[in-house]
Amino acid sequence: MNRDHAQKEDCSERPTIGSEPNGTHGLTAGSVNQAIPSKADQIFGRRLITPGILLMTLLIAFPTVVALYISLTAWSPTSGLSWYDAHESWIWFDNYAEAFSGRSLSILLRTAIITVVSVGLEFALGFVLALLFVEGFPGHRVVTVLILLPMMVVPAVAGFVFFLLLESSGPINIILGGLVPGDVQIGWLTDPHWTPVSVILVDVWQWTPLMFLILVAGMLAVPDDQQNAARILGASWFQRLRTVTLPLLKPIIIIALIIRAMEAFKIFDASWLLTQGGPGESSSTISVALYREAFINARWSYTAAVGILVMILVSIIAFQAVKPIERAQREA
Amino acid sequence: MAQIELDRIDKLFGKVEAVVDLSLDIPDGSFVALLGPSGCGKTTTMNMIAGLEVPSTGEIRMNGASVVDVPIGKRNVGFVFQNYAIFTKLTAYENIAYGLRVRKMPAAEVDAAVHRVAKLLDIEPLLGRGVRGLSVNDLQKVAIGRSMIVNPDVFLLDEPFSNLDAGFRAFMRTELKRLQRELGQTMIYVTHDQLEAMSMAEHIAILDRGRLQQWGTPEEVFDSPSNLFVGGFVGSNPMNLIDVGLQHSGFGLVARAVDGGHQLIALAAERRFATTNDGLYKLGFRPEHARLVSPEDDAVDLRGTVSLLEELGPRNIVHVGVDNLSLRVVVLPSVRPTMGERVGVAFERTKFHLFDDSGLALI
Amino acid sequence: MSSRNVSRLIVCARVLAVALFLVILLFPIFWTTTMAFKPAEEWAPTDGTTYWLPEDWTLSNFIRVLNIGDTGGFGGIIEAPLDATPSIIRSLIAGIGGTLLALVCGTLTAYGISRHRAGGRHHPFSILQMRMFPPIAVIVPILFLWTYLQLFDTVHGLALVYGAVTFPFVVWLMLSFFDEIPREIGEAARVDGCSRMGVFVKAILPLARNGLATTALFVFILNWSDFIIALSLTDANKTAPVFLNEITSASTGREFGPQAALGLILMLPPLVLAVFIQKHLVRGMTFGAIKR
Repeated sequence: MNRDHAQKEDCSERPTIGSEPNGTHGLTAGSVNQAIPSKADQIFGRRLITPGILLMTLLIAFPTVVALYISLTAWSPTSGLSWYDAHESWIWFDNYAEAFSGRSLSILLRTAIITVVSVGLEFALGFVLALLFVEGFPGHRVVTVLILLPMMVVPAVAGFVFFLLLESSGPINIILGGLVPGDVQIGWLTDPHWTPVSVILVDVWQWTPLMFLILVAGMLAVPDDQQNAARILGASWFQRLRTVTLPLLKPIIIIALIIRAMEAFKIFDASWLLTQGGPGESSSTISVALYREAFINARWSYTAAVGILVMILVSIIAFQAVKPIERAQREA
Repeated sequence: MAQIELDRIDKLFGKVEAVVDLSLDIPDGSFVALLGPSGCGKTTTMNMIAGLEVPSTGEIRMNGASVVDVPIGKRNVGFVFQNYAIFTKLTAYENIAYGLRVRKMPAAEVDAAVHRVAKLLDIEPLLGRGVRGLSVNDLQKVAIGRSMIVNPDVFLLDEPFSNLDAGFRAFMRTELKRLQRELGQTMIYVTHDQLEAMSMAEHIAILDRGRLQQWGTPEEVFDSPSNLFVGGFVGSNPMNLIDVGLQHSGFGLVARAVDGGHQLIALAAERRFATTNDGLYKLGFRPEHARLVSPEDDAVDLRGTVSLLEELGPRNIVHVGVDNLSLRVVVLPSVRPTMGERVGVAFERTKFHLFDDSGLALI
Repeated sequence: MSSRNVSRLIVCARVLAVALFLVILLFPIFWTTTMAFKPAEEWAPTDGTTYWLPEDWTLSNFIRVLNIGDTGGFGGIIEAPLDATPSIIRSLIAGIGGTLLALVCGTLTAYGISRHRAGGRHHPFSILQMRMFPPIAVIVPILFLWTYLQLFDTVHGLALVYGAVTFPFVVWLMLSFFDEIPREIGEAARVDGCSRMGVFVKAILPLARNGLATTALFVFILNWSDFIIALSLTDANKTAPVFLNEITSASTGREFGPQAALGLILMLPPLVLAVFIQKHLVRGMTFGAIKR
């Protein structure tokens, strides 16, 4: 974040071409420019990853197998059976059939919309803020710290605070009432049209600073000389943004969007703490719906089935998402 | 086409004086070098002409009209950056076309112009390629092409050759001179390499610590440096400098070398010097303007012993120790005195310089 | 209007725009902070008045939530101490335990991938995929396992899950740090007769020290911020974020002040730690995908 715009050392040696912004690291770095390792190296390498694999087996693979088993039954904690006896209520794929119902799809769709809108807004706002910032600013150091504060708030605390703020007689409605004529009575937490907006609001509040941080760092790394070359050739501010800054930032933007979307897709805290996914299912995301089925409705076998479907879906998406990240890193 | 006038320019960065009271009058169509060591203010000067920096005080005029308030991009200057500042995400073609495209020129005209420029620079085959894979030499040409295409009134080049390999550097020097002649545009370039400035420019502005030291043709700054700094900075071999005391005698002006064993040097009477007070002066002459003579020769100015011989091919440089002074003399390659040999050094009477204790040349 | 005036106007507009952003971004934090110092009557008065600033500044919310003294009670209501301290300690233990576990496993794995090509080309990808799984998708089966192993509602059980959940993060971040260490260093140490493990411990780890510290702080913040895992896997032994959201009072149902006070306390560790990792903030937040 250090910006030294006080003075440019005249006549100093400049870095030559190729010094670029956005140092990114290769996804497969370490396995690219490397000779084929010896047998002993391979064995050692395998030993190194053993603890990690054990951990993942214990906490991901084994539970997944159990989930697979339970998902084919009608078992629930209230059924009086031990979970390993769940096969007594074997129902084959009924849970999966139910999971493909319109209700699940609407939750999936809602999660996708919330993800896309949140990340899109975070990017747009972060970008504008970074643009405002990058031209130098009185006291920009302090302001940067202040902007990053929301990122440091524990999400569960953010959920609690926004619950207070968004109450129908809460400060946000009062402030809005002061800005527009008439009494503002938006049911942020009660009106099914507004509850998803509230969830988005919390996510945008908390993560716009991250987008800002990434973009401002990227913008500051755009070589001054390329900007100046474009200015001398008569390019307007907007033309420079489009032809110089954005192409150089593209890899960073792609990575930031994908990673943020990955996190937003899992969104739970805001939705649960504001409205518990309601009213009805108006603000339910996948995580909230799963939690409800498991802990409110105690439908564990159904939860297991949906969980497995979600994992398959996420794996497919993640596999697709990795490719552009990898390409962006190679480009940068 | 532009005549450029800098009128008493100051530029401060905080408390650092980058340029101080700089006035220059650059004639239309001339080829000018801004020469000086690192930190001398030459790049700042160029940035101010281009509009990248605003002078703290003073005026910049192009063809008589002030341009200080003309925004960058409307000054119609071509600028070649030291590191070329090529747009790394665009192709060579897009780089060259850039200036015309931001002016919203029709695509067909842009295309014609790009090919004309590329042909002139001999880079047509590279046009479709991304600039990532281009060599430094090609990047230089793309950078020149990119600033050329908008027909700038004045060309500014910041250390244009510093990143090139030696062979291509020599080639580009002649290329640039040819281009300048063909285009007839005013061309200003910044360099710290005096040889580059001497061999290419029609006029040289020598700067040191933000102040103009001398403005003149290569011959002028070489033959009559205005001060000690210019005398020392210009020339492939450093000027020989001797601390002397001056006195008048029946033979005219006589210098007594302080370090050279108090040898007396009769200076020609036909050159008049404004001040010849008692006190310390520096006598300077270039190694190229001195010759080796026998110690008994009548013309000898200083006597000493050979301490080092540098054989450089087309010429040799003999180092002559005179007490604790070391003088250099450029000689023909056939002249190869042995170490320790006693020799005399004589310098051309019309080509020596006297500097007073503030470093200013006496005329 | 001269161009200099125009540019001054633009600067003014920019400052104003940033100020507006700042006010919006900071308002929720302002609200938490003031709420933490408001007495009960000012939390959410039923008569419609809104206290933008506490009228009666009080520390009683902090005192009650940390159970460090007697507030004396007021208005005839006897305030039960809320005592979040045990939950904070549990958060700390689970967070640190999970961090250590993830750090050990993740660092070894990252080194194996970086230098020994372990797991093949796609290993890092599959690890990234795990990061995308909503934790709740695997929490139900983990619940079975935890009940069976008697790890449900325990701090060490929570630490284990935290370790597993943040493990992919450590691998990715440490990969980016290991890749910055020249290969020659390891090779030189090998030539000097170091064993493979010796190279890692004596040559590579000291060089990756800063990266390791950064990663550790990041992981701790992640664990500290968790809500859903602790919500699902604990019952009586809640962590602080869960505890915060379940504070209610028998008499009024609302305990906004103490909640806000605890919220402020919970904000402190990330804030303090962020100072140490500011250089790597972007890198950490993008799992090492963007280095800076």
